[in-house]
Amino acid sequence: MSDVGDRMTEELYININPLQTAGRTYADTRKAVFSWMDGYAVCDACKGSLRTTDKPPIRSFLSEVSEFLGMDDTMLTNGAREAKFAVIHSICERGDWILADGNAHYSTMVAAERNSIPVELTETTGHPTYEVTPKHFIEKIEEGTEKHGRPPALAVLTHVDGNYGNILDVKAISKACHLRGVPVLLNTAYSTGRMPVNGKSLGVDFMACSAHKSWATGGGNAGLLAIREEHLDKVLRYSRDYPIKPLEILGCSTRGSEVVALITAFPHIVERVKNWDIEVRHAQYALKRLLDSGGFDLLGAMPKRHDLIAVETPAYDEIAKMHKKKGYFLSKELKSRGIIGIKPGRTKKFKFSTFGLNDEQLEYLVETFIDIKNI
Amino acid sequence: MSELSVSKTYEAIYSLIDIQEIWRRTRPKHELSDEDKEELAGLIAKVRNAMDKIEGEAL
Repeated sequence: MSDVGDRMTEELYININPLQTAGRTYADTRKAVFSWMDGYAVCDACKGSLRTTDKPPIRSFLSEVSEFLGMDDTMLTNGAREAKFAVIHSICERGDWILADGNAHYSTMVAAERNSIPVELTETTGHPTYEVTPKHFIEKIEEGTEKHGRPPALAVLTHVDGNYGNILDVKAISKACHLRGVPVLLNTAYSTGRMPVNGKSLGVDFMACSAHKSWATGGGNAGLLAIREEHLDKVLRYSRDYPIKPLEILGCSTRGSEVVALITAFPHIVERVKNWDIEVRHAQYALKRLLDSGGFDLLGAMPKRHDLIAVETPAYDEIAKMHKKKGYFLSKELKSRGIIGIKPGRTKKFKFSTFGLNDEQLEYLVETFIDIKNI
Repeated sequence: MSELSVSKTYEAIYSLIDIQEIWRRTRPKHELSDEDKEELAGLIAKVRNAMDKIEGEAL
């Protein structure tokens, strides 16, 4: 056996890495992955295309997901970034440009770059709130239209950004974009699967979802691209020579155990988004305790409405100056107390997530953060 | 060999995954409640039973 080691992270530690907390799998999913992990196992009963497969029930799953997201059709992709690439590739033409928020993820930028489409980013409110408002979008549409001689071909909105956990006012921004003839792609990597999101209510044209980030999916990378009916002919178009194969996903995308993982996670997802208010309360409680204790400052908007919390931590930074382990003292100290997920070496600021913690674990986390200030 | 040993292998692994879930649920202190202990004992019994069936059939 190759010595890749046993991870055991999720069994031994409270993991607060925002990238991983909502991708943690359920037991059902790990069992399914175990059973379906052989190469192309999901293709046992292939009818020529992954999206029409009934055993395992991929076809019906995609239909249920469309309804769950309030969209008209859904494609499986290898991740949110591949979903964004597919939309940009389908919608944009040479000479077009894209509008994105100032907190956009790098994968939005590289998806555009791979399509040779320039991106204009909105301003943000800057330190410490880093919010992006509808006004920022309207200003950038006007500015970019003057610069490029045409309105943006697409607006890519980061529903919840991965640095501050800020939530965009998607409804107002979508309305402003549509009034100017600009279709909207919502990057939901940090929202769908964690919190209730309905594409029709928000008025978006496309939604890119990350299953391995927020839909408790393991066994590989998986994403979803949900589409409104009026755009299906452009994005869900099929190969000329292989008419059952969708072009934008090169025929079939997630053709491994990850799609079975996603299917088995889905009933848990449907249930857990109903408890989003608890997750928000947990995040607000943790933040309040830290702010009240002193030595912590929030980065991002107040009130906190998402489990991803970014903080500046002058209290830890002062300790790091004197500590023999310097900036590494914090991650080492946390690990010794059963908590991981903070990037080693960081003491000036960091982000963490309270997603999925029970009351006891949350209390332990908060007490530990506060206690470490006194070492 | 019949399917029995194969299905019991899956059954044992699935029970071990359920045990893994207990460690995940109670991390990092693993202070098990009475309910947790009862669940754990049931799962250990299921693994043992599956192992016995495999031993009885395959060896």
